[in-house]
Amino acid sequence: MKAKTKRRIWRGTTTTMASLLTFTVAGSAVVNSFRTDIDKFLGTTSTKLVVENTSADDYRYKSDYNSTTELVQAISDLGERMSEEGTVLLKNNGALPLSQNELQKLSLLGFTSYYPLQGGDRGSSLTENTGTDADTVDMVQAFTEKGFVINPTLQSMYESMKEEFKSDPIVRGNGTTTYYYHLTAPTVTGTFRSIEPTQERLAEVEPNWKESMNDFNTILVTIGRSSSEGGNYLPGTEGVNPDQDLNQTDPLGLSDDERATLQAAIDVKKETGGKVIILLNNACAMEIQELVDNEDVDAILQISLPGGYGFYGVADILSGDVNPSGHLADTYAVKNANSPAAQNYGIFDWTNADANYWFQSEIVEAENIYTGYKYYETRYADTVFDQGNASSETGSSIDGNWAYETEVTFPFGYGLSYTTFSQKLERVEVDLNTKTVTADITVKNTGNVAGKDAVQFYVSVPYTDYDREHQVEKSAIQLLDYAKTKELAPGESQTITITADAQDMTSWDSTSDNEAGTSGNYILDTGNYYFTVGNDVHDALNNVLAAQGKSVDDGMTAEGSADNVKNWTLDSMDKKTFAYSVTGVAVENQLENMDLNYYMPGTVTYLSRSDWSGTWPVTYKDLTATEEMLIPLHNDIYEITANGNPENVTFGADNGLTLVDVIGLDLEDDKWSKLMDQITLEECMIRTAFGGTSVKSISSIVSPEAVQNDGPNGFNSYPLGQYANTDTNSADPYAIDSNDKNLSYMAGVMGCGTLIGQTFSKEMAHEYGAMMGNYSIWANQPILWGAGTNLHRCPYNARNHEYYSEDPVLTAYQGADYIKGGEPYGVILAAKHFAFNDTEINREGLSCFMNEQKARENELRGTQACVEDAHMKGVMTAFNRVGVTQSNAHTGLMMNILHKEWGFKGLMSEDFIVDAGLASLKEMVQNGVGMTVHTGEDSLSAVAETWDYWTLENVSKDENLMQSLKTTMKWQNYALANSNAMDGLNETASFKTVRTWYDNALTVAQIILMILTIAVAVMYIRSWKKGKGEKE
Amino acid sequence: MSFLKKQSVGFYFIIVTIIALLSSLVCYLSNCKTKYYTSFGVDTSLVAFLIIGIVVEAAYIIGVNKAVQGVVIDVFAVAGGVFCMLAMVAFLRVRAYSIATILTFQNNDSNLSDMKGAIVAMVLCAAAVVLSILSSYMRVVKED
Repeated sequence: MKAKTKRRIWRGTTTTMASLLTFTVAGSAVVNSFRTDIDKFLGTTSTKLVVENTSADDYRYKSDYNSTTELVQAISDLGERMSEEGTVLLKNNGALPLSQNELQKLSLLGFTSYYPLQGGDRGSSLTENTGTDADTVDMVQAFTEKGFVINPTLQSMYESMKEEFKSDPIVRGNGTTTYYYHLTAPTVTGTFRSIEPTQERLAEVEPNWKESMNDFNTILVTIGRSSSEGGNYLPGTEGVNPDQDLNQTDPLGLSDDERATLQAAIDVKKETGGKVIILLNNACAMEIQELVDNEDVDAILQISLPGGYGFYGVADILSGDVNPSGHLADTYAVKNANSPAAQNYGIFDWTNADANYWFQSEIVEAENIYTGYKYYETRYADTVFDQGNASSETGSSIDGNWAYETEVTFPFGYGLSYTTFSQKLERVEVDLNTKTVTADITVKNTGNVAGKDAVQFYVSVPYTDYDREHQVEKSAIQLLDYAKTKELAPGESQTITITADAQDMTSWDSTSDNEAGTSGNYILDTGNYYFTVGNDVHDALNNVLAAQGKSVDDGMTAEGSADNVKNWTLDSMDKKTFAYSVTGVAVENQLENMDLNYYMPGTVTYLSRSDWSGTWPVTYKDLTATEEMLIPLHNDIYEITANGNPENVTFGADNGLTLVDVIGLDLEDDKWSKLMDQITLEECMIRTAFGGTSVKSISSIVSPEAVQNDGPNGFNSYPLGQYANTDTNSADPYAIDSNDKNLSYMAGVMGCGTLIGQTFSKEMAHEYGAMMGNYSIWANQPILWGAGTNLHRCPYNARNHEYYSEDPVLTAYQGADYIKGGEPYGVILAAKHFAFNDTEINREGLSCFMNEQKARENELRGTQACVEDAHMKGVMTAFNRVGVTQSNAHTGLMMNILHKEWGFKGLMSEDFIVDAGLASLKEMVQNGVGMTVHTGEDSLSAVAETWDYWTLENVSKDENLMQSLKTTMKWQNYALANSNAMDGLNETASFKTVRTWYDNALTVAQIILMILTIAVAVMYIRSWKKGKGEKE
Repeated sequence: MSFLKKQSVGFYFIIVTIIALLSSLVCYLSNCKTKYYTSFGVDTSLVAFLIIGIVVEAAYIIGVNKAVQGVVIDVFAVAGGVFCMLAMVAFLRVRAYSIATILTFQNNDSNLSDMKGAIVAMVLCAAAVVLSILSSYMRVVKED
């Protein structure tokens, strides 16, 4: 070989080696920046807690299960029962339950039967489990296991078409690409595209598909609408793919392809005498009036998104093994787009939007308190009383006057059973001293089949001249509390005692004086309060109207039962009873700047029942933020300054305590102060800035790292084995054998939040919380963002599946009981997204405007009980702004309401805000928010690269900020100290940095590459010299 | 014409490397102005590595064509690869996390579009790494 050629080869090899060496050396710095995420991805750990003499006593929380097999099978059982209690029977002409003979000849029509929606996409997604002791099942698998026989021709036909139901590629966070094989929701700017096969296409694939149903004429037609984080349905035809001509007027309405599929089933039924049953596989309320009106549809079951085991429950309902007892958690309107909330649901960009600050668009919730049933039922009541222009054409779904019958298909709370029940409101006692409303309701099974019934306890509060004058709005009816009976045998009765929180019937009056000497107070108006029960909210309202002397002659849809109404009269307005919160803080307006009129007086007209027509919401778009609004919109509210006496704040003390020493102690205990004096300012600054997806360890107080998980359908982020202790020789009673077949099990398997809401069962929510607590112990994963307490403001939010309901009371108590259920197991079951994250459109930095009455009585009430009653220890804040202020930075909401009024003490994390400015670090720490999702090297210099103001020099001169940092860290660690994150720790615990296998691999690679680089460089020089010699 | 006639395959590889680096730089700067990335700012070290990479590669072919001989000019070949690699690592540092975040939490048309711009810039940079390394094995001029 020529010398020159050799030289080129050695030159090239030197370049290769030097480049690879560069990659490994420079890559090490990148690895350190992303260490947290890499550890999560690889299941490794870079810091280790070393504990001596660990005993079983150091594992403070106990599981109810003795093995992972017991655990996962219990989850499966609960998932089945959740669907049994949450599935809603909407229509039944006697076709259900099916006989054993009918179950042997099932035809499943509609591609969603074979590719069902079991969870959402990109959030609360089903984690499919195979090879475990509780594998998840789809509809076909569940029905088959239950002994049903499915038409094989149809099954083969649809299964052969699988690729036609493939979604657009979904690229995961780890870079791999996947596809969904089911219907998907549009993106926030996209439109709904039907993929239900046409009749012609079905005939092409299987010419005998229709004939095959002659022998399988019990026909289940599944119609679905998908749910998704980051997904959205735009109202009306604007939300439907314009390239499809399918006579679809709304993305949540039916398409001609779905109608044709249904008609094919009906044709077979007419010819052979079978049955047609529709399964609605959705979490966003669909427009289904035509299905209800269709006499050839025998039954409709709303199965929601049932999770990994829910189809077992659906099967049990179809067969009659279980009697359905679910009730709708949302109103099913005839035309969703005609609701007042929908008038301001969509994409409304600021005219002076600026991507630099993540202020893009706004939404004005001008519907006031009237979302969901609070609109439909209140307007209905006003039509009966012929007041407030309720019967005007404004907002009507038909050409003509507004009428309840043409607006609502199924009211909130609706649900049928295979039996009948009577409910008698025996007694109601309002006690303002204890702030409770106690009611006794006797439920009797008056039919022939055993079953459970939901007791829905409603109140109608007076709407007075004072309210009209002071713009206080009142729903004509509202849920006050609820309960579920045990299974009642035919003829059996049960008396349920409900003790409701009287605050849930108060109204927020922004104009009222208060005990703080300012404005804003919870009031109870003078007048009559009507309490009643009903099978749904409309039924209950009719009872109230009957008690008020109204009848069908006055325009009521049905006669009510005045006998089932109890009356309570308040002689004078009460502004005292609820003037102080549970913590003793005098309540006052905190969200005035959430009202657009605060910045732009007279801009917004809020919907009022005093004039439905004259105050009907216009669409607020093309708004221009004023100079005053630009300050918070630029995410820079607080200026770090020299203030107070920094010497007053102690950091870095040597008090010899660890977090173990304060387990179970009140925050007021002196030990907490001493412990927190040990923390260093640097630690506070780094830990609040860099969090990521876990609460990081703090060495000065020996606070362990605590892994966070999503979401409302269970532990979705990591498998059971990722953080489980596999050292079976340790003292850990929940160590799992490294060969355990359930190590790969992931618990994102429960039905969606809406299904849990539809159970109307606090017991089921409680049981679910307890189950997640048990799982948490085995999995060593102590934090779950699992309570979706945002409301269904509109059915169009494709993320509604993560939230329980349109109603705040149902939301609050399902959430609260879920959290209470987990508490004995030490899991931190946390709510998200606080607050007002009720659309996915431009959610980062979206300005949400509303008045304080709406905020407090709707969305905030949905979270309040989770804090006040369940003592929740975790909250995730929201992407959106509260008005123009990023939610983390809104002191009125975060500090004054959440912490001071409600008494929240726990850990708070931001949602996944990637922009450092929008994350509002210096503002958030003053509101008790303890971590962003940013990650990086554990150094202040790394933090300062992201937030240049976050330096020791700046922060150490600001006493207020330093006090806030310590307080926030204290609350965060209070949550951890009282969780199972402390399991296995004792007073000997200390941290040790450990090298992971990838650290070792990088070091070895660097050494080898360095040697090789030097070696090939030497060879290059030799060849060069040799070549030079030859030349000479 | 005679200039091109005396060039060998390595010359063309280096030219393509320079084009890839330049394109990557343009794509990156343009990506920094997209809605999603505008608040991230411009990473000066990344820009510096890309520019130095371009300069070093250009200096290498100029040097070779000027008949500069010896270790000194070959150092430029090695340095070209190193700076391309440094730029690639810097790309990973400034964009990898956001890409994962968009795919996981912020998956919408606008963000995906912005993310694709970032990926194109990264792919161009990665291509430059490979081309730079390959070119260092090759003759730049025929009489080399």
